[in-house]
Amino acid sequence: MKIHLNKNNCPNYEKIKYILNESPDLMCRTLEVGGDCLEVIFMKNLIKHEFLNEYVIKYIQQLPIEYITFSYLLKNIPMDEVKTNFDEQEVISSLLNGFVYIYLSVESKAFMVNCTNPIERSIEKAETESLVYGPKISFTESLTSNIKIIRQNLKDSNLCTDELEIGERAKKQVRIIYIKDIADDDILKTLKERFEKIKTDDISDSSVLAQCLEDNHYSFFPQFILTELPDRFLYSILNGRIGVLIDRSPVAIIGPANFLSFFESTEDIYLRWSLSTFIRFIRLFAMVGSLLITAFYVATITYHFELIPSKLLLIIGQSRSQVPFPPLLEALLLELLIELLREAGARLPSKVGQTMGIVGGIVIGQATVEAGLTSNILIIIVAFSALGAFMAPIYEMGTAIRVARFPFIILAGVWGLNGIIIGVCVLMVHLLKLTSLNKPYLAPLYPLRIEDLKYFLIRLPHHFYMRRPTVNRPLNAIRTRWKSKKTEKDLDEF
Amino acid sequence: MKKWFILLSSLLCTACMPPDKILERQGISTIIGYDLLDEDTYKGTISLLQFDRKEEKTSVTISAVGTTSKQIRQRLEQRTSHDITSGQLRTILFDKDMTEMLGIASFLDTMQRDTSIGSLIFLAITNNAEDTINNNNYEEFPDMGSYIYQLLDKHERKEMLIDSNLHDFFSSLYEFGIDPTLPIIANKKGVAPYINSVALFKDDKMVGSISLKKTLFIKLFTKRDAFLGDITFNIPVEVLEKKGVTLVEKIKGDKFNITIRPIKYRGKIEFSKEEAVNLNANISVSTIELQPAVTFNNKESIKKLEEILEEELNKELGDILEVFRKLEIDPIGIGRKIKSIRKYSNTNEEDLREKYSRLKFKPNITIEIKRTGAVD
Repeated sequence: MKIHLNKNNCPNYEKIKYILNESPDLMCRTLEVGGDCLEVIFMKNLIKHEFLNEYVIKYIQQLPIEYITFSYLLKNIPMDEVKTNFDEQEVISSLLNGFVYIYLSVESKAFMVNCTNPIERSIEKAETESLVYGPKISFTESLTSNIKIIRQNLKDSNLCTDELEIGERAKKQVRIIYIKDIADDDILKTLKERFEKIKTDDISDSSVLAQCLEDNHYSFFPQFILTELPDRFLYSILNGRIGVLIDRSPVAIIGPANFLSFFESTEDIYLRWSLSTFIRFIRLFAMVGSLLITAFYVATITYHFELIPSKLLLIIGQSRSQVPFPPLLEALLLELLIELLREAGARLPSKVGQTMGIVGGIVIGQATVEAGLTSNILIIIVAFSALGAFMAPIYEMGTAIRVARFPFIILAGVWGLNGIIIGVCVLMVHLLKLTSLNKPYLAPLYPLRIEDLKYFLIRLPHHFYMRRPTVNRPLNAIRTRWKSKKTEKDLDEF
Repeated sequence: MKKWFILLSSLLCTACMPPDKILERQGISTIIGYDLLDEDTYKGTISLLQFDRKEEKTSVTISAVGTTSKQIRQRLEQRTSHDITSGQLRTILFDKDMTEMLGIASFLDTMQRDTSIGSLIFLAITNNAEDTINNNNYEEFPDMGSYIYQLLDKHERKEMLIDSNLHDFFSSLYEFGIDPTLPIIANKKGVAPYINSVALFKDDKMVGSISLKKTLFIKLFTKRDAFLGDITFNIPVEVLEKKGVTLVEKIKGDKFNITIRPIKYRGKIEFSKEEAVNLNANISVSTIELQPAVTFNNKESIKKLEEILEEELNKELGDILEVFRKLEIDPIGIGRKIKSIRKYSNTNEEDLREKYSRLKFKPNITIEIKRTGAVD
């Protein structure tokens, strides 16, 4: 087929049709203008037809012939986003983004107008990170509305939303969001360098993007916070972190993250400080417990019965007496059973899922104990550790703990408490070595930043939060000046 | 990564694991008792926890005869399908005859060297260890071992007993200048075993015993802030009258009974001149019960009452010291005090004992009634 190219480098219908592999969606509406014709080319599924009909076709049709020139149309067409000066590639990608291509064959010039009709779901309540207190709004799949949410919540002229495109085949828009006079330039530079290094044809979701950006790809632990809550996102941005949003994903990436920040939830800020501190300690306790308690059970029952208090000894001994498996096998069996239930519950439709919970929790649990396959003490322990893993407000951290539990159980079964200690040492070394965007992962704990502990480990009353956490190296460390607050008078003061 | 893999597989592939001690396969002994049969044969009795829920009893007792504690253990092993372990061992009981005739240090030495036995286990003496362990009258405890452990632990926590664990026993046994003591557990038909009195040791042999109440005098001088326990006096009315203690009303009976509770005390052994030892102690007390309930007239009466109580206590202390001297033992640690004086610091054990027998004791306890409480 002969491909016609004109001097302005604007492809015509034939050419576009060829590039798009004769897509049945590609439409060309030819308008008669005097003796000549004007081609309106678009992808029929991607555009909003009312816009096209009302403001493009109707507008052009009612214009007197002498006005239908490239320059006049470009200036006067009643559409907000108009493009000129593009190359062939851009024409194609814009068409695929829902633009309408208007080609004037007389002048062999063309321009494009935006008639996009993106698929959008309405803004809903957060699903994976539900809160009792505080705003319930969550991000959606549309980047535009996500940006809208952020802008509406934070009306700061220094809020930057740098645009990038990644993915070689399926190009996706990415926005790096930060506050210019707070976020550290080094971190920003590191992040941008990481983006340059990503070579992939497609990034399907922000969680994939986060994995590509990570410092250590082999680690169990997530090195970026993934959240669907705009308030959490903004809280982090305001404390000097950098956020990343990717089109078509309702989950935002926040970095640099540190270990303790996976155990904070925005709810901690909304609740009173005393309760939040308590809850944070509970979460950390649950995390450690979830990681080690089954292993500890296996170790003590197999090697160190001396450690069990004498009153407990009889109870555990009685429940173990009929079990035919060694403790290691017993624990692995039950842990796998719980994981099985969890996975099945997550995949099934919600109505069936509930039944699964009952079947799994009551029937299987009860039956295994009655059949003498496991001890009921272990059922309690495994249930606790399963529950503990879900205490982490960030889902990814919970999964990391769930997976990390198994090596500990095996170590405990092989070397007893020594094994657990070895495991804890390896884990500690790993966590100490780990970085997120080149910032230490265990940050406020090591290197120790005492003034930051109030952000990550405990909560204090609000007037203690005058400075931003130093681990994020904020350019502007001061949030509020306490002095100005002090001069405020009480209601009864004169 | 590779290094880790090699390290891990070199340990796993060679089956480098500690020997496993799975809970339900262990015969967990909580108490062990030794009885003297003949001159050199002993009978060892242990109580093992048993985990079978179908059985009503939660423990089994087995005995075996042997000449050493390890032989006894070996023979005990023959009688059970479980591995006998001593990781949960809490108490060792010794038969009275054995303690009096042979001494227990040789038995304890092997216990001390066993890594699975902690040095905080309790030691006690009883008339017949096997019978005591076989006694079924233990309240809610799974077996006799836990019962006796709780019994001794409670008494030690409440400071009604002088320390009686393995470590304390050894430290006072090997230190010269102080002699060890251990509780004696009485075992009567139909009742749970209870602590009866305290055995006095010379080296590792039991030579006598004193009542629990009298351990007060030992605690007074060996411990800093023990709970001395309430002290009850029965004072004849004549003594009161002779002293001139005036009461608001007349007492009808012929005895005046008073219980005091020490609040604070300070005991000090003072080595005044050659061969004379002052045992000074100052006890602040509150009166907690008076039978019959009467009111003291004035401060002076209280002062006089204090004097009466002091006399009583000093007399008792004097008596007990005489008993100690007669038995040639020193549980209070006067010898230790002597040794702490520089010029005697090189004294050897024999000289010290010899010196101890020549000492003149001068008990000097003062009582101060700080509070008379509601009685006032």
